[in-house]
Amino acid sequence: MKSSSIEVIGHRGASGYLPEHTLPCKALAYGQGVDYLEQDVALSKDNVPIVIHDIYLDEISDVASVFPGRNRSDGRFYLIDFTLAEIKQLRASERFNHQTGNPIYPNRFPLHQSTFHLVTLAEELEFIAGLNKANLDNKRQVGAYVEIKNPSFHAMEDHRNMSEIVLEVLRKYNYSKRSDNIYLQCFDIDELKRIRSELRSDLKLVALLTDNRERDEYSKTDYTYWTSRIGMANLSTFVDAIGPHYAQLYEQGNTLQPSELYYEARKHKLLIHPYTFRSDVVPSLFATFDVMLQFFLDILRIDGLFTDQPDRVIRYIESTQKLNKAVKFHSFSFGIFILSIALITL
Amino acid sequence: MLKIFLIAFFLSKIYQTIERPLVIGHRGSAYLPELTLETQSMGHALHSDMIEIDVCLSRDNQLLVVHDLYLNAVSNVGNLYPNRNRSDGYHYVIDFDLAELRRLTIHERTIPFTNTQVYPSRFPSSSSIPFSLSTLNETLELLLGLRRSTNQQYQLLIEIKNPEYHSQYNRSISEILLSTLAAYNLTELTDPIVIQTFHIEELIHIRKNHGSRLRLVALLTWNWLNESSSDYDFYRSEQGLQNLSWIVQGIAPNMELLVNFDSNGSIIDMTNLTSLAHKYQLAVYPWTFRYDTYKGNFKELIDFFHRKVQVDGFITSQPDLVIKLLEQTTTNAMGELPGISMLLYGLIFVIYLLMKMNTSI
Repeated sequence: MKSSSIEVIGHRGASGYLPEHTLPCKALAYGQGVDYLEQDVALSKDNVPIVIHDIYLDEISDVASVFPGRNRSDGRFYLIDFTLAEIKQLRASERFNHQTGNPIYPNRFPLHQSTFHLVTLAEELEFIAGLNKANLDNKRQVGAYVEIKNPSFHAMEDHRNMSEIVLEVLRKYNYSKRSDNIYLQCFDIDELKRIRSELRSDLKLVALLTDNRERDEYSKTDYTYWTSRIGMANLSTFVDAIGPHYAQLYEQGNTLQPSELYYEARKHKLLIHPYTFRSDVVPSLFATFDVMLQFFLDILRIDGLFTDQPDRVIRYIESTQKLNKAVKFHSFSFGIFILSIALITL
Repeated sequence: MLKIFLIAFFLSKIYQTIERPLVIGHRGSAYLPELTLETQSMGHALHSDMIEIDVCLSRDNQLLVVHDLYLNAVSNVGNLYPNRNRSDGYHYVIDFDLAELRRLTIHERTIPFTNTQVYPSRFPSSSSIPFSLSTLNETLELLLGLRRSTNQQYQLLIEIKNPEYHSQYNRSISEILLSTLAAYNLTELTDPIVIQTFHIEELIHIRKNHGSRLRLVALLTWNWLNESSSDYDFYRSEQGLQNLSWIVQGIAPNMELLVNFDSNGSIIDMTNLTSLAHKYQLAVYPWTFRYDTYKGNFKELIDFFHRKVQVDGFITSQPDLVIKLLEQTTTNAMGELPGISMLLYGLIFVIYLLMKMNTSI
């Protein structure tokens, strides 16, 4: 097992290998050695927090064939239009384009195979607790990493108290303090501020960051402000970490100079947990996935990362640790060897 | 001088390529309810070479991945179908259709009709998580899909539960299994499937009458357990093993058939079954190595079976632990077993000294 302090977060589980946010996917990630399992959370019609990345059901399940006609006028099937009981009837799949039916990631788990289901946040937290209890000698404790998805969309749909509902579920599973093994993340920075000040949460909070051009239609957050010097100073008063896209950590172009954002985060002692490291989607700037990991882990020395392939990241971390140990050992023993030869001949 | 150093270096490289025995995740793994897709995924994540599963038939001839012939130790069948038990109080898989079985919630094994967890340190059996029974088709799709997405060669060891029991209901469970596998193009020796069962004559039937080319393994136990009508005393004899070698690729004996234990679980000595099996080129895969219930020193147990008994694989509930223990005794990359490197350098040093002594005389 890796002993470094880098937090490896299973992005939607080990989603590079199994359908995202299903329990087998989370089991795979747990077995591969992650430090945290990630849960995106959105609400069902009856206000149950469901572990799902999208506010839609039509790219990760068979909702279109099980409930034909239940789509909205834009053609999409919204999670918030379905009760928990209905959601449980669905079969989850590897992600596909809802218009073409083609997989988003061509070499991952085949579409519509085997049988997977969506789960509630409560079920996943119980899953993690059970695994933490069952592992040998209780040595490994895997944490939760919860994202509250689209609070402003939920507010528009008259589910205004989404954060309250999620915090209540977390409390039930003994996640309420800074010292608990959990991070709470959100793209909506104002909502994070509300969670900290009004709802008085003591949990570790993570500000997810992106570019204003990448925002969805419901977002009002101004990332240009929040990633500026003033914005970061403000941010550091109520969050513990930032979750930027990895490209926000280096300057444009090929020089791989660390960005201002990176330096600001370090200045304010904010943890840096960028997303998402995918071994099957490596930007051309980096020759290989390992080269990419080397830049972020060994040069920038980030504190944690989100990955779809936790085993690859952990293997990289362990091999650099082993290499360092081996180099140290061999230098030492070869040195002794040379020394003894020298002593004999002299 | 340089030649000697190079020889030493290559010697150490050879160490690195010795392979360890197979590690087979028993019912997936210990860490999640047995045989669920979740525990199978866990077994794969822990680098098991194979996952071991069991199959039984439902009333409508579907292959369910379940260990017992009844459902009362691992599900809420008693609550869901209160009047569908037999006179012995148990609910049998073969009395239910797949659609009915899909409604069950699966949990970590308990003693039937109690809330007592059989393995107390494992996943809580009182958990309300809706685990479900998986079918063989779902299991095969998980295996094949994972092989594709991870690029790793996971395999499945499928036990046919009690073929003679299923014959009583006029079903040939083996035939249904073989045709299900064939539908996924799984028919060859080189495919990632191994079939095993306690009823040896069924294996002969699969090989001879069905002409199957899949790898087969003979489960071995004691006659008095009445696991099947096969005569295990015969099959454990030299003649029996020779007969087996014409049909199967390996044997999977209870580990107590390979090693004699005292009442404290300590090893006394080994039997000659493994060497006899190896004489006829049969692989040996003993079961079941459970860290949480073994009373003696687990590391010594694994070590003994690995280096003294020299088995070809371990069927275990904790594949991660067994792999770790096996790798500690097999080899590594230089830097983790300083002993070997030190030894080599020391050897070079001594040779150098000797050379020096020779020239100075």
